[in-house]
Amino acid sequence: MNRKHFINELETLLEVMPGTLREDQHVRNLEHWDSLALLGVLALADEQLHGQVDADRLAKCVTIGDILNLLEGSTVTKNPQQ
Amino acid sequence: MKASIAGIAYCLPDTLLTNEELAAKFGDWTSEKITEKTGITERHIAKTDECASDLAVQACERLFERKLCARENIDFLLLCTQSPDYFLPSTACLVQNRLGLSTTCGALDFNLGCSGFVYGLGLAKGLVETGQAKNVLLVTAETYSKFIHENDRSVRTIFGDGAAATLIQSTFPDANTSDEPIGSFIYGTDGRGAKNLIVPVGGMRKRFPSTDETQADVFGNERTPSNLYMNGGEIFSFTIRAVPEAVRQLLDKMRLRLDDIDLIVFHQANGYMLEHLQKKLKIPEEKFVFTMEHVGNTVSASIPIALSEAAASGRLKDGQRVMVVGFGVGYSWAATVIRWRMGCF
Repeated sequence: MNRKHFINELETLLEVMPGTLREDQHVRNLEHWDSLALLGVLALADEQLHGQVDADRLAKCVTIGDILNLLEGSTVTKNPQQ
Repeated sequence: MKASIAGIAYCLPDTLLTNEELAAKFGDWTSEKITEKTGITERHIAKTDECASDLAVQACERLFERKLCARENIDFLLLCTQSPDYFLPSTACLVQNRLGLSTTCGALDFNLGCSGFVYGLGLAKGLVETGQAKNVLLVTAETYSKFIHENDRSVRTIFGDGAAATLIQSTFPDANTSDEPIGSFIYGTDGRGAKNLIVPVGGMRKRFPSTDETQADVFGNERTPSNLYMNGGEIFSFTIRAVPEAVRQLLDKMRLRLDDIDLIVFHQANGYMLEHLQKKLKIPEEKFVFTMEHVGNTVSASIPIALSEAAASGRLKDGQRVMVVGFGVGYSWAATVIRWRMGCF
């Protein structure tokens, strides 16, 4: 997984200026991090990684880096249908 | 004899809840953002004294106005709701009386949410094709708004109230097609998801809340234990797992390909989810129905409302194969294929 690519995807999703999102940034301080953005991350994992992220763990993420780790790490499991 | 859908009518409460009203209340979501993310611009909300039976009766009266079946010939009433007027008696018994249906008519409630319409079709097919009934009235009536906390935007933006009445009749098989008017079914259940869409308090497990204290989640949505709770992320994950698999299983069972289906009507959950499912399943735009803009997610009434709207707009035509897939609270899901007949709407 290319972390930079997913940072760009998160920038689009969270409606922030391209190139401004950092891994240490606290996600809850971002204006557009809400329950809809959370669905967006789940959709991103499904579409681009064909994987599934634990939604409860995603909701508990503190930083952008935590989200990337979830997307990248062992918690991303392949969808059984794929 | 075969069971066939003869007609659908629906009823929505008069009171509207618009995105403008929601945006005014929840300052950080604009009206446009709610529309963009949910695909919904307004929902209909039942008044305080307006219950599932009231909406159900109005939907049924609209169906009877079309003279498809005299009310005295209804011999079974199936009523799906999770917001009944009372714990007991069944809302179906209240509706039987208010509609003036025969006292020889069977009537029962069944408790399912967004999968309820498809399960109801399966039950009606069983009643008709085993000769137990000739004219089944399937009513799907829901007033989820009564469970929703006014400060919970995660569900207030999505759910609307409504009821649909569907007439399923016994008909002679059509000599021109090998398709059944209501085809094979696939069903699914996974109670591990029960906690993700629930009203925790009010039933016999916990009759009254130990506290009425309002609690806020990480996104600031407020609710008490007596309100509807939805873990949107988990519901989304369940849906993108279960629905594609249900579609695949149904097509396999019926020996059909997606190309053989003329129109696809999923439970109208929310725009974001439907868009994702459409993309994931590679369903062409012209075959995919999205009709929740002015009604919201009406739970078990959403599929018959969508069918009715698709037929009224000319998208759904006589003889077409329509796949219907219901999914949600439980978790519970079901799917079938209908051969649409002129005059159903």
